[in-house]
Amino acid sequence: MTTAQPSSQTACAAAPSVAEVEASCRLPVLFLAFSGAAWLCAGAVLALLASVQLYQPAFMEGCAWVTYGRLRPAAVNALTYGFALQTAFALALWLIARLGRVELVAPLGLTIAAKFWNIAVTVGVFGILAGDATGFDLLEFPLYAALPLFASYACIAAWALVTLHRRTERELYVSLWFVLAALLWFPWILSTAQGLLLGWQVPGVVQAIVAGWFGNNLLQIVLTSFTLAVLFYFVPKAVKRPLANPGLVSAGFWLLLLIGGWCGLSQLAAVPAWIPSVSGAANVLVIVPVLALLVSLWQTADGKIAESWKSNATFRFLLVAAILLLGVTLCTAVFGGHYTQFTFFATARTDIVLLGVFGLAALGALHYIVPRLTTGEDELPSEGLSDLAFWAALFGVLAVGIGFSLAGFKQAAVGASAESKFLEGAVTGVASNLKLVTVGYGAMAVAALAFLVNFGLAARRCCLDCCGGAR
Amino acid sequence: MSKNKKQPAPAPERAETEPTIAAGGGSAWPFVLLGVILFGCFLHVENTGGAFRADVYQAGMKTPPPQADEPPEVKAFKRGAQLYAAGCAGCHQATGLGSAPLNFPPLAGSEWVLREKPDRLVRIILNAIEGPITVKQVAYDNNAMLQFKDIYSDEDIAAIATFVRGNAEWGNSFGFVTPQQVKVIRDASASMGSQKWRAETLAPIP
Repeated sequence: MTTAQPSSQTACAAAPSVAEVEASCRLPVLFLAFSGAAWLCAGAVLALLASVQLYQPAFMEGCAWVTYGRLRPAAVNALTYGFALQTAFALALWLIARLGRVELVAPLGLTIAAKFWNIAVTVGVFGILAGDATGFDLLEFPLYAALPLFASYACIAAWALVTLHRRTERELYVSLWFVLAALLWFPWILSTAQGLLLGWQVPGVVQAIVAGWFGNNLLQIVLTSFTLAVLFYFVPKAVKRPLANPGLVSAGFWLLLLIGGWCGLSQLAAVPAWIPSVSGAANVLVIVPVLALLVSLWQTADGKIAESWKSNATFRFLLVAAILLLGVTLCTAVFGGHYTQFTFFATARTDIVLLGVFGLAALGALHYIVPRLTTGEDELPSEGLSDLAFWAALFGVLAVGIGFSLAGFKQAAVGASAESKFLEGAVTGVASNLKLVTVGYGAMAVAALAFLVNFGLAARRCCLDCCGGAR
Repeated sequence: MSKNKKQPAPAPERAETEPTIAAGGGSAWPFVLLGVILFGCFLHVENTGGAFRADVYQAGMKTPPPQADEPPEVKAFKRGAQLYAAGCAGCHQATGLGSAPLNFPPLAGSEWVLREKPDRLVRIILNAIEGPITVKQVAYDNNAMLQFKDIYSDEDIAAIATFVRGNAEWGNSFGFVTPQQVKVIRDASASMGSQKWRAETLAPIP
């Protein structure tokens, strides 16, 4: 991986042109991107409604479908499967096609599989609202939604891997390492977790360990890998420099895969003591690969960060996503132990990784990809809406992350002291922080909506350009 | 933001350069840092990991105290002590001496308890006893005793009988009562229904 030269010399003679590659991507990638952003909007609204009930318990009372115990899992699963993973597939397909210089295999089949993925997510969200949730964090979809979900994933991933196999640019660029790792990691953890929890039905304590292992791997390996794939593609591109220090990148890649899967169980209760202990150690160790990867990106962009922030709509998202990745890793390493057990702190981590680290990076990448696949321009039609999407998403992520984190710290302080009053300190006392969270989810929904409108404008202009005259 | 927003759609063959990788690079610091943190991690796991034992749930406890499996007699005696405290000590007192002024007969040294076979004791626990009775030369007449046949299982009643008969602190030193013995008596006295024993009906029982 020392010197990749993805130029016409190494590419074989049959390499398709960029236009042909983009034409093959257009339908599936745009469909996945649009549905993903729509689920971001829907999931943020569901999460907003759920968060209101944390300080207004009587809000929407009387209807079982919209109680907190159903709304919150529905929101988190809509954001995870509807938004995050779906958008990740769009990014993965696009990165494979572009970096491999290859046309997507079966774009129509991919679109149909993506359609089924959306149907499965819809069924799953309504299944949770109807009361069929499984009760395992990030795996709440009932079996009748989880199985079609896995089947459509298998189709998408299989075609993605076939495309990758047929690439004309043989050298695998760093982004494709991460895409490949995530595409292979996800079916492993999903099938293992669903097999053990819903099929095999392991006994109680093991269930908590399996569900925690799955949730952490989804956040720490799969979504973080997709984020890093985006960062490693767009940052060198935005600053127009080659990626600095590839040795650091390959060390970071392997260490992340090696260590990342051990994290995230440090707050489990009623399990053998070595599990939270080892997991807490891994939480600290994972700082090393994250730092190595981010240092390489920083060395690449050093000196051109301010300039790129102003000139490049995508780069702003990526910079914030990278800072949040470092922040959430350090925060989990330092505070992710017994002190913040049973508080909103873990919720904060999930939401920051989902919406902040991955969400911002994905929105940034889509601000680059969508205009190229629709109008053929470098930017989405409305600069104002791009700005709105960025600032609203940034505010939303910070409000949700800070709100939940502060609430978590307050609750931890109450839990650590026998004198403090639980109800006043940990329930009504965190209402102000949770109101911030509500505002944050609202801002996320606004950001998703701004992007969707911009997307719609671009698609409309594209249609007018291509076939508007003919019709 | 970009200034080329209003450009017309560029030609399809525009120069789209993909990111490249610089030559060289590689640093040792991640591995040095990894080693340093790993050392701390080993200390952390050594102190809080419970020696990787599956039966240590409390951080900081390296090995649990050895718990040799107790013989069934001792287990039954301990269980009986708990049940006695919950269900019997209210009248017969923790000392087993009862209370003559309050009309509660004693169990410690009682000739109704200390017999070769536990048959009378188990029958009294199961169906209770009422009416006049003489214990250790003192006359009692109390109808307040509860029937425990529907409250406690055979194991529980065997445990209580073991505790009462074998309690060295009370000066009682008779042996272990098994759940099987209780079951036999329970079946034999099933026809009594909720009728209580009296001193004279219990007299033929050995």
